[in-house]
Amino acid sequence: MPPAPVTPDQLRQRATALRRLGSRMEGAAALDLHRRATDDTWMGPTPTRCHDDLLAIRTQILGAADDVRSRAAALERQAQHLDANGRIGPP
Amino acid sequence: MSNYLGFDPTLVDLLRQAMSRALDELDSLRCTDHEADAAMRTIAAARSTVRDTWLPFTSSLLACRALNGYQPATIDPGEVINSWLQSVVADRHWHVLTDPFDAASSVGTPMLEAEQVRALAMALSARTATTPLTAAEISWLGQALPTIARRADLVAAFLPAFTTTGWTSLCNELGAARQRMVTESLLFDGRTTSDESAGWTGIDTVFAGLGDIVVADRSVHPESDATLLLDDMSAYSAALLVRQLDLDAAPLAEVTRELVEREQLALDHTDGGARGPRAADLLFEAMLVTPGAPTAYVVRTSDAPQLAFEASDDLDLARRLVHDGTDPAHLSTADAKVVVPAYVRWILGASTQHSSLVQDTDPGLTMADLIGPYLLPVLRTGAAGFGLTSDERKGAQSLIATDPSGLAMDRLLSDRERLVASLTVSMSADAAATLDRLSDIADLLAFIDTMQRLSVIDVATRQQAEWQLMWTAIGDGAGALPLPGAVSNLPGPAITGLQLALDATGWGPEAVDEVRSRSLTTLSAMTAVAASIVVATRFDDMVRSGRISPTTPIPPAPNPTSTTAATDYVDAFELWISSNHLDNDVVYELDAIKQTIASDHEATADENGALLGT
Repeated sequence: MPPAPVTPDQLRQRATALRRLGSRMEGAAALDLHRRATDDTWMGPTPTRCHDDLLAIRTQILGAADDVRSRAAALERQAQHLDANGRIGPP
Repeated sequence: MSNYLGFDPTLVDLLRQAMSRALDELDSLRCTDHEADAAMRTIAAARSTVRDTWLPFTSSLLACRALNGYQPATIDPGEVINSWLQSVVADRHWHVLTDPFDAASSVGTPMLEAEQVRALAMALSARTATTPLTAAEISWLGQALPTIARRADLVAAFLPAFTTTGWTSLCNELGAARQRMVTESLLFDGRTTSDESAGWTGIDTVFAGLGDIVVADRSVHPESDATLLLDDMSAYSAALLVRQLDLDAAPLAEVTRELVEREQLALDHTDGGARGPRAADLLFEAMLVTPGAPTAYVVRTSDAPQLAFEASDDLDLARRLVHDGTDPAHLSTADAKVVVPAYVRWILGASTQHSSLVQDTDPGLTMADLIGPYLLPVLRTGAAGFGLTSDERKGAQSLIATDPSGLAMDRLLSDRERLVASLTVSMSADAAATLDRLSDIADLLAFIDTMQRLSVIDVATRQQAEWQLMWTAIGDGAGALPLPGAVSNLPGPAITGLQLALDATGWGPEAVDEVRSRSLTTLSAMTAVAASIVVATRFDDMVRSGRISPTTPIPPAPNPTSTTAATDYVDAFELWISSNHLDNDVVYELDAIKQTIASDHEATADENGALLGT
C-alpha cells in the first residue's frame, strides 16, 4: 500500500520541531563551558586540551544548529509549494 | 622535562558543576525527525566527550585522587618554561600536579601577555646555577625572547623585572656551556664541524634574543647603557652578548678592550688553560663587520698592542683585525704616527723577548702586514718618519727580509696597492709636487731594493750553510762506516775532489759574495728602469702639451741586463739631451726628474744598505 500523502501542515510541524531543536542547541549551556575552562581556572597541557575540546564542541553544536534550521526552512518552502500548487512537491 | 597542571579548586568545582548541568541539558534534547539525525549525532558526541573524559577528570582533581601521571608537585621559582604558571600558582594559591600530557604543546606557547613576560623575567632572575637550563628550556627561550623583542610593551614588561644579577647568571651559565662545547669540539683536530656547532646554536639564539630585547629598548630609551649589564659577567659571556648589541665602532672598541683585559687577567691565573675559544675571538669577528671598529680598536690599544696580538686564540684573526684597522683608508695620518710605531715596537719585542700567550711563529709576516702601507714613514728618519730608532728600523726590515718562510717579503711585494699608499703626493702638472712624488717613489724603491738584497743574501747564506753542513755530515757518516782498514774520519782526497768538482761545474748554492754582487747589479738596474719610466712618462706629457716637438726622438731605454745599467743609462740620457734641441726648461725638468729618481734612490739605498749591513 503506498504511503499516505504528506500535507503542508505536517511539513510545517516538522519544521517547527527542527527549529525548536536548533534554538535549544544554540542556547545550550555546553556552548559556554569553554569560558569556564580558561587560564583563570587552571593551566597546563591537560587544561589546554580540555579547553580546546570544549571550544570544538561549541563549534560543532552551532554548526549542527545551523544545519537543522536550514533543513526546517527547506520543509517550510516545500509546504508553501504544496499550498500554491495543491499537490505534493518533491520530498 | 615535567609539565605541570595548576588549578583553582573552587573554579574547577564550578566548571565541574557546569559540565553536569550541560550534560543534563544535552540529555534532554530530543528530536525523532530524520532530518535531525546529523544534529543528534553531534550532540551525542559532545555529550560523550564531556561525560566520559572531562567530567571524570575535573572530579578526580577535586577528589585529590592521584591519576596516572598526575602527582602533587611544586614549581621551582627559577623554572623558565613554567614561569607564568609558577607566578599564578604563587599569587592565587593554586594546587599543582604534574601533567604528563603532550609537553610539546605547552613548550611552543608564544608569550603574548605582559604578565607572562614579567613572570619569565622574574623566573630568570631567580635562577641559580645549581640547576642548568635544559636543552628544551634553551630552545623555548630561543623562541620566546625574539617574540618579546618584537613588541615594545613586552620589552617594557620584561626588562624591569630582569635583574642585573639575573642577566649575569643567565649569560654566564650559557657562556660557560658554549665555551666548553667549543673547546671540546676543537680538541681533536682544531676544527669545528657543522654537527658540533649545531650544539651551541640554541645558546647563540638565546643571546641573539637577549640582544634584540636590549636593542629594542635602546630605540625607545637612547640614553640607556646596556654595557652596564656586562660588569660582572665573564669576558666570554659578555662577548656573546656584546656582539648582539649592534654597537657603533667607538663603543664596541671600548668595550672590547675592557673585556679583553678582563679575559687576559683571568688567563694569567689559568694553569695550562690559555688555549681555546676566547672573548676576543668573538669580539674581533664582530669588529671586522662593524665599519670603523678595527681602526678604533688599534687606536685604543696603541698603548698596549698585546690586546690586539695576544688576545685572540686565532693569530690570523688578530692579523686581519690589525690589517684592517691600520689600513690608511681608515686610519688618519695623525693616528698612524702613534699606532704604527707602537705596534712595530711590540712586534719587535714579542719576536725577541716577550713570552707571548699566542705564539707568533711568523713575526716577519705580521710586520710586513703592518708596515706595508707605511714603509716610507716607518723607515725614514727625521720629520718625514715615525721616529723609530735605527735599531728599530733595522729590526723591522730584518724581520721581514730574513723571514725563514720567505712569505713576509712576498706579502710585502704582492700587496702593491697598500705599498704605494705611502706615496701621499700625487703626480700633477706642478713640477715641485711631481718631484716630491718622484722622491717618494725613489725612496720606496730603494727601501724595497735593500730589503730584497738582504733577503736574497740571507737565503744564499742559509743555503751555503746547508751545503757545508751536508759535506760535514757526509764526512762524519763516512767515518762512522765500519770499513776495514779505515783509520781516519777526515774527508779523504776523493771526497774533497768531488766537492771541488761540483763547485767548479756550478753544482751547489751560489757563493754569498756572488749573490751580494749580483744584487747590487739588480739595484743599479732598478734605479735605471725607474728613472727611465718616469722620464718617458713625462716626455709623453710634454709632447701632448706641445712643449716638445712630436718629431723629437724618444728618450733612451736602459739595459737592465748590463752590470752597469745605471751609469749606462745616465750616459745615454745625457747624450739624448745634448743631441736634441730641447727648450731649457724642458731640459731642466727632465734632468731634475732623472736626478731625483737616480740620486734619491741611490742615496737612500746606500743609507739603508749600510743600516742593514748589505
